[in-house]
Amino acid sequence: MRNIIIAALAATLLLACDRYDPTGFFASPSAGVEKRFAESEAMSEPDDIYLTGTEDYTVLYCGDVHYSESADNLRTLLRSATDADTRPLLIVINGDLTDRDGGLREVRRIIDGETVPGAQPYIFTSIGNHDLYFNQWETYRELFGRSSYSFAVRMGTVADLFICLDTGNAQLGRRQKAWLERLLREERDRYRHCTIFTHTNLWLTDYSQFPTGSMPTLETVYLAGLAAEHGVELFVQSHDHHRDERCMDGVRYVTLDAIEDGAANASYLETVYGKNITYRFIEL
Amino acid sequence: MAKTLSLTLLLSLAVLLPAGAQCLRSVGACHGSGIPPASSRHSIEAALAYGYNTTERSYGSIGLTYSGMAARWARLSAGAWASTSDSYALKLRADFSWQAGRRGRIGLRNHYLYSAYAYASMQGFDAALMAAYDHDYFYAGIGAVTRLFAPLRGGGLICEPIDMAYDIEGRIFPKGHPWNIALQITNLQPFRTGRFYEPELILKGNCRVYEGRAGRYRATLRTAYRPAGLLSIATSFYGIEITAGVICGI
Repeated sequence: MRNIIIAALAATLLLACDRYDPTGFFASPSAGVEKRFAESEAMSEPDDIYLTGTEDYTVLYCGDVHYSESADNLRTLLRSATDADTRPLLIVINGDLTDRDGGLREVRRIIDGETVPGAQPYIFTSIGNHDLYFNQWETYRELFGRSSYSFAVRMGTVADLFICLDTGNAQLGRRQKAWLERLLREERDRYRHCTIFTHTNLWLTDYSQFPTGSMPTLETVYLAGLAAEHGVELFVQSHDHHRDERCMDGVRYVTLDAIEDGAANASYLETVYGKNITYRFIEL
Repeated sequence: MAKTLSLTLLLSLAVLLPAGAQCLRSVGACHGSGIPPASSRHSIEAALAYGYNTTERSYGSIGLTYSGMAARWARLSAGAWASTSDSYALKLRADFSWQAGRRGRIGLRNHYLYSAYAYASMQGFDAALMAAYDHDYFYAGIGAVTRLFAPLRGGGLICEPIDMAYDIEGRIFPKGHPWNIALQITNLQPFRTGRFYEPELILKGNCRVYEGRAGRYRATLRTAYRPAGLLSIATSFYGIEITAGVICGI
């Protein structure tokens, strides 16, 4: 019996060796968050987006693509957004783009194949824990740019701030924290709405992904306090593969379903930014 | 505020220990996680710690815990903790235990913790219930914890309804030995609870330093390491904590 168990464990590891990076149990499978942030700082921030009118605009959030053999749900979302009469302004793909070594390039190819560079919908991504497996940070940086960044959507005298945080290692790190605090302290008041999106979820309200972990408790407390202090209105998260909506101290915390192919509850979040922020989940 | 409170607690401790301690025949070993034997009556534990984590950075803390037997099978503990990171905690713990075999006890452990994270204007409340088995050489407890988060001044509340709590410890000598070393893995620290994926890996020890009419004193030392991202397979260093303390048995 013992030999059977050992053989089963070994077989599982061997079969999963191109999807899971067990070295991550012992050390970060890619450059750590401090190094990633330092390298991100050396790159330029994304350009702000300028709208000619003052109309409401739409942002789609999806996450957990987990590209392994296919990403048909993502492809469907991108294609429908690009073909729509009223295109969303942005699509945010909120981390875990791929499950496998080399998958980031396939996801980039899918995105480029379904969208027009420099035109609506503009695509933004965040980095997830799976994207760090197999030392893929450098590939992510090459294909998608910074792991922490901010940008604005500007409409005349009104502008909305969007902040992407790198929580691939389930923590922000010292430098990213200092950057975030300075950004919120010095810039937040200049904007109408402020949205933060990041891969790892803050709250442990669901056990569907057990035993996958997420944010340390103290990081959750810190981010919740910071978000409330600076009037962050929407905090979009993924990682848990299970939609969740919470509100505390004026901050709405929304966790996305996975858009992974085969996910039973695949959906994305359609968010309209106007005088207020409204949203709804759309199932695929 | 944190420094003032910490100094006040330290001064209180300096007055309280010599004045309040009276001796009984035995004091339980490794007070932190084990279920003390029924012969212990009262104990006071004071601990100073230095810690670092990537959220709060460097901090110092002081903790004070009183523990007393309400019955042969029931021990109640209450404690307070303050940190220079501007966070504070109050805990209540109740251990109910019954003899199981010659060298073990089975029991239930209730653990209630209120935390104030003044630096983030947040507060939390944890309530844990565990089933435990305490042997001379090891302790194993597993159970569930419910967690609430709320702002200190704003509105709203977030409940994490159920999480797993665990505490596993192995000792090189049986309890009651003049000195001991233990390895422990747990997400229930003395004054903090972590989610199930936030274990602390702890190496700790204690030794008897004085026995006499003024009481029985044990010195304790605890070093803890905590990773982040462990069960997301994207592990990185999160924090360490070194705690030195003294337990006085009354």
